[in-house]
Parts: sequence; C-alpha cells; structure tokens
Amino acid sequence: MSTPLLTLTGIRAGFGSQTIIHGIDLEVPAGQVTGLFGLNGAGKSVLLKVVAGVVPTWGGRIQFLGNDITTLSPERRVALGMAHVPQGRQVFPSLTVEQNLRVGGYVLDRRDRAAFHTQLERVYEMFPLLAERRRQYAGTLSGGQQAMLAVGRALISDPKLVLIDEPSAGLAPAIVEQLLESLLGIRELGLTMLLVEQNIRFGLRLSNQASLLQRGRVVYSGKTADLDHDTLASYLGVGRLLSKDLSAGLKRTSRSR
Amino acid sequence: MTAGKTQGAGVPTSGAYNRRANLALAAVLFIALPISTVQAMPKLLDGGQWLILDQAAAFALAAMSLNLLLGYTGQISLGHAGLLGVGAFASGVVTSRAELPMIVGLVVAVIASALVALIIGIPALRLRGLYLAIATVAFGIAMQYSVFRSDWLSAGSAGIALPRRLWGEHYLTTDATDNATFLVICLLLLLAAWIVDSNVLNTRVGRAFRAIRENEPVAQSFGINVTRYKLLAFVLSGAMAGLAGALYGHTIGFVNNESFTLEQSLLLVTMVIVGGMGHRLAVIIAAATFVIFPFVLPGLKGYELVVGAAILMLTVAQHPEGIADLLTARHRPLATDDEDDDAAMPELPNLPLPSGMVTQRPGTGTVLEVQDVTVRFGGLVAVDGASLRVPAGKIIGLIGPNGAGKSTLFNAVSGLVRVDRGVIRYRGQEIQGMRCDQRARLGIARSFQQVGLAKDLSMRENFLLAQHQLASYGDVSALLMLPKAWRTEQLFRERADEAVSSLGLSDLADMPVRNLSGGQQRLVEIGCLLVTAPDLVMLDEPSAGMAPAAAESLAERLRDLRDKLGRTVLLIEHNVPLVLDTCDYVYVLDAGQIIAEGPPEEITSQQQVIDAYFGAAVTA
Repeated sequence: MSTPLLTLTGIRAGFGSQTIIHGIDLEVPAGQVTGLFGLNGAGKSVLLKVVAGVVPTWGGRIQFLGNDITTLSPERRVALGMAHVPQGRQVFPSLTVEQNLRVGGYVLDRRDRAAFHTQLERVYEMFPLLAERRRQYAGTLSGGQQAMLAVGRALISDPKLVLIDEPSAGLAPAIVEQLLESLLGIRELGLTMLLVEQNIRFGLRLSNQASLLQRGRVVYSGKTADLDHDTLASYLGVGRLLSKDLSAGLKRTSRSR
Repeated sequence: MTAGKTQGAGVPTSGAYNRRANLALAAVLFIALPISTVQAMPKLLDGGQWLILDQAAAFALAAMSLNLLLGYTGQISLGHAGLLGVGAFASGVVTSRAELPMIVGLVVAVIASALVALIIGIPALRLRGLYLAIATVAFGIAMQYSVFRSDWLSAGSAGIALPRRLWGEHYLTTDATDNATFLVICLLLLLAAWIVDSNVLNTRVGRAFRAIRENEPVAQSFGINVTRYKLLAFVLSGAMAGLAGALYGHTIGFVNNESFTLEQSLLLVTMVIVGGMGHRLAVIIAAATFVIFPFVLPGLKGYELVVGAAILMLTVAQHPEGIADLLTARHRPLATDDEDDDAAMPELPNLPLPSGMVTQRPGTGTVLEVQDVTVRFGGLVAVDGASLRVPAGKIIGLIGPNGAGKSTLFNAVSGLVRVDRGVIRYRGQEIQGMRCDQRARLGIARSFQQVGLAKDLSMRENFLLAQHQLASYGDVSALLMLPKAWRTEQLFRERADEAVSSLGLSDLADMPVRNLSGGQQRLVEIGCLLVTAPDLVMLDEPSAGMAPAAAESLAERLRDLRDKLGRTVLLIEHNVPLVLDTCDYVYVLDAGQIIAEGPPEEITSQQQVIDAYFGAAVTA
C-alpha cells in the first residue's frame, strides 16, 4: 500500500439539524481507485462533496498532498490538484465540447498555456470521440458522450485526485462497458480516483480499494479483491436479483489481480 | 405551519400538532392582544399612534396576500398596489356614495379585487418571471394613472372618502378609542385571512400552488391543473389584497390615485422577501415593521424605500430565507448527540405499498396503445413512427441506447410533448389531444429521469402532493377546512407517514427533499407513485442511483403491482438484471424506431439488440 494522497480524520457533516456523516476516517492511497459503497443515504455523495469542498465540514480534518485543506474553498482545492465529476454529469449544454474542456482547464490554462494544450491533446487521445465532436454543443451529445465529456473535463486540469460520483447512472449497458474500459485505461496511467457507484459490478471492477459506508460511518475498508459476497450482501442488501451480477464482478476483480 | 416547519431531528410532528400550535399562536396574536389593548390601553397611545397600528395591520394583510402569490405559487406581481386600490375604491363607492355600512364595502372590495385579479391572472398563464413582472407593472400603472383618476371614480386626484360607518348613524371617529376598536376589527379580519391562508397550506390547494412554483411538468404529472390553480392563486391573493386595500382606506378615511403607486407595490415585494417568501408570520412581522418604524424613528419618514432597499440587499445576501431564517431555530447537534444508533444494522429500505382504498383491477384488455407515433423537435426526429401495445396486468420493458427517444416517447404518452403524427389510446380512448394533468387523472402516472418531486417541499409533503387527485373535497371546503377536507387530509397524512416509515426515512420526513441523497430522492419519487396505485405506472429509469437493496425492493414492488393489484407497468430501465427479472415483454427502441420486441429472454439473444444496446453486458 502506497502513501495516502488524501486523508480524512473524524469528518462530520450534514444539512440543517441532520447529521449525515458521523465521524469518518478514510485514506485514499495514491495511484489507486477507492470505491465508496453503501445504501442510499449512507453518506457517500455527501462525503465526496465534503472532499470537493462544496459541502462544509462540521468537524474533522482533510489533508490532501500534505496540506490541511479543511477550510479551503472548492476553487483552491481544484488549484491544488483535485477534480470533481458530479452526479448527473452536468456538462454545460450550451457550450461546445472544447469550450467545456477549456472551462475544466481554466486554472491550468492561465498558469501554463503550453501544458494546457498538451493536456487537451491527451484527453482527446483518451476519448477520441470527443476529438471528433469538439465543435458540437455538449447539450446535443448522447448520455454516454456527456459522461465521457464530464470525465474529460475533470482530467484536463491534470489533477492528482479525481472524485467521481456515479458515472454509470442512466447509461445503456454497452456504453457503461465502454466507459468502464476508458476509466480502467486511466487507472492504468496511475491516476488516483475516489469513486461512488451504485452499479455494483461496475464499481467492483473499477476500484481496487473499497470502503463500505453505513449511516455515515465506515464499516469496512480494504482491498476490493478481499471483499467476499457475504460481506457485500449484508451491507448492501444484495439479494436474488443482483447476486449473479455481483459474483461476475467479484470474479473479474480477482482475475485482474 | 411556517414556524413549526423545521423541527428538531427525529421529532415527528403530526398535522394535528401543527394545527393546534398554529391556532394557539394566532389566538394570542389576534385576540388576546387586541382585547387587552382596547380594555386597558387606549390611554397609552394617542389617536395618531393607533392609526399607525391600523395601517400596519392593513399592510400585514396586503403582504400576506402577495406572499400567497409570490411565496407559495411563485408568481410575481409588481402591481399589487393596483389590487389594493381596487378594494379601497370599491369600498369607497359603497360607503360614501351608496352610504352603506363598512361591512358591505369590505365584502364588495373583496369581490371586486378578486375579479380584477382573475383578469390579470390570465396573462400569467403564458408569461413567466420577468415577463409577468412587466405585465403586472403595466397593470399597476394603468390603475394608478388612468382608472383611479377616471371621472366616474374620483375625478382626477380628488379621490374618494371612506367613512367608517358601522351601522345606521354609528361611525368610528378618529379618537384613540375608536382607532383602537378599528384595530380590533382589522386584526380579526387578519385572523380570518390567516386561517384561510393556513388552510390553503394544509390542503391540496397549497400543495398544488407550491408544486407549480417548483416544477410545472411534475405538478401536472401529479394531476394538478396548472391553469386552474394559478388563477385560483390570483383570485385568493386578489381577495385578500382587496380587503387590505379597503381597510387601509378606512384607516386613513380617504384615498386617491396617489395612494396606490408603483413604489408601494415594490415595498410590498420587499416586505415579502425581507420576511421570507412563503413564511406567513415572518412576512406579517416584516410588513408591520416597515409601517411602524418610520414613525418611531421620524427621520426615516420618506426614506422607507431607501432603507427597504438596503435591508433587502442585506437580507438577500445574508439570510435568503428572510426573517423566517431567524424564527426557525437551527441547531446543529453536538458531537455527543449522534452516538445512539451505532451498532444497529440499517434496515434495508422497502418501497411502500398502497394501502386502504386500493381495489384490484381485472387484468384484461389493452391499457395503452401507441400507434405510429412521431415526435419532431425542429429538424430532429426524436420518435419515428413507433408503435407499441401495453396489455393490462403486465410489466412491459422499453430499452434502448441513450438518445434513442425513450423518454420522449414517455413525454408523448404523458402529454408533456405534442405528437406530430400517430395515435395514443388509453383504455380505448384517444388521448393525444389531452392535457398532461387530464391524462394523469385518467390513471396514467409517471416518474422522471431527473427525479420528479417538488424539491423544496419535505418528503412528507411530497407524499401528500402525490395524493392530489385522490382528494374528494372541493377547493371551497379546503379553504374553510370543512370536516370532509379535514378527514381526507388526516387519511392522507397517515398514508404519507406509513410510506415514509416503510422507506426507513422517518427521521428525515420533514427535511426538504433537496437535502436527501440522489438515491433517497429516487426512492421517494417511486414511493409517491406507488402509494396512489395508478392504473398505468410509467417509470423512467427508476433504479438509476438506487443501491442494490433498493433495486431489489423495486423489483418486488413492481411484481406486487402486477400480481396483487392488477396494475400495469411500462418500464424504461438500463439495469439489465431488473428488466430480465420483472418484464413480461420488452420493446427495443433505437433512433426513434422500435427495432425489436419479444419476451426478455429472446431479446437478449438477438444480435441486432446486442449490437445496439447490450454490448458485452449480457454475455459476461
């Protein structure tokens, strides 16, 4: 296990009078994909937003690349090397593909124009489909293409850490498969990712570290390969319907190891 | 309702509790206070000071009327002073020219303003936001410079007198005692308006208003007739504004065209925003403060708008919820508060099942028939001559790649987009010409890809909203909270509580749905559809964002709908195991056309479908 890139200590957060995260400790090792799994409302997305800085913490500490970023604004975190792929993709529909990417690379573009262009070419290499459609309005892309654009927009700033919230939601199976291949390719490049995913098969195949959340607490942390069916079933309530799918996912994970 | 809305976590409040707290508060504010003032305090204030309080009460009512329109329904009016004026002039004509008692004037004022409001409500059906704002400004200015100056009303700026004739030759004079008595009258009328307003909020009328504010397509899909309820909001608001205007007129005894200006309309908007949109009590406090303060601090007189503007900017920047933000106690639990449920395994969520009123339907015939339907957006053909048949008592899947036109087809069936060609039949009846809410009332319910809920309302309120079309009471009995409305609401509340607790989300029941996680919102949305057990349930990617456990429960509920209740389901879904597990028959849509259909096990083996949709997903 490599050194953690991101360390959360005793994080608490919520809305109004409702606590949602009840003291979470979590380490995200560099160069790995850490998956957060749990029931709806377990606090996965909120935790991601706390890391991104869009939901304030009520307590605890966030360290990123050795800096204490607990009180930093979302923009400052981006400048430090963090990127967020939000739930529901949220590309800018009235901007073109390339303009979307430029927005994502805003910080880098201002700092170092040449580096930005290298990054732009890299993203187009990873997603050739985006290169073909660079002048097309993002609103006219299909769901799968928008998902790739959202990931591309996050990658363009050459981040150290990418936060991804349910990339596969609402995508057709064939597209989910393509997206998974692309993300696995990016994982091979050694990028660190923190992933929330409900599609259990997708999530297990993409992540190599897994944390199970339950009511705002971490109840299991370890290698995805060490997860067994019963542990998952007991925390996620995987029953008859998805068991086959889950076993397929677990099998893949252990095979890829 | 306003003050009681945000409770401490985990304290479920029943409607009855809210109602009692409300009544108690209202009683103290409007009965005990004025009676004690009249008995003991006329000597404390002089006539002029009582007059200011009378004005404050009138303006509180005026702000409440705008709050109903702007705060609840989301319809802006920048010409509200025009409506106040209609009430004042109407009462003036009745009391000074026809020489009838004030009570008649007030009744006529209410009716006249309600009618005028109905007329200005008509443009609101087509105009939104800024355009509506401009239209209402035009109304206000037309009233101020033309109607209120007309010869038959006031002959230029000569105006009209509003005597306070109680009966016969009994008048209220302008001495302290009579002004204090008039305050009691104002406050009692304010109380009556408060009760009506509170009944609006606690019944389907107010839920319809707020659903319209939040999301019109969603409101329509719950069977709410948007046209009707927008007009109703204007009429109710107009009636209150007319009463307020008349009370204001009788307070100062005389009005002319200069009494009801654009500035006054803007001041009313400021009062509502500074108070907190949708928060009745806070809006009343803001209005009263705005009227009283310039007199307490005489230096402020004439600078109300400047001060108001400053307060408005501060409010918007610091407390978007206005004064209401300060009224609702917001406490963050201490670290020690939340160590209680540590060891407990979370209950796996169960989607609610309909209870009570539900009858089983025989599963025969065809529920939905889509024949050769084409939908175009400009040059783009989203649905291209698609046909499908949904037999009663079956679960039919609709799958296909992203952008294939599945959701557009749903919109065509539920009435959110117009069909360019083709026929849609529901139980044999052609429905393609009907409005969305009419189709919903026939028994077609749907979920949305982007969760279809009123997100600023709580989970409980959304469950109540979902039952809109089950309510058998009329709008009048809602406004007066007649026993029938009361009983129906109680039943709805019980059903909503049941649904919330079966989702395992009781402690979040009163939070705005916006604060729930994406997956929880989805559970609530599907739950809202299930509790009403509509004849045809159309679900657009219900399992997107659901944890596996919830997807399991969804599959089970879909089968219950079909097998136990004889309902029919049309399902768009990318979760292949769920489709295979639940569907009786599957249609595959690609580029707007049905490219394949058949039982699920056959569909998954067709090469054409694998290429277009499944990819490697079914082979793995």
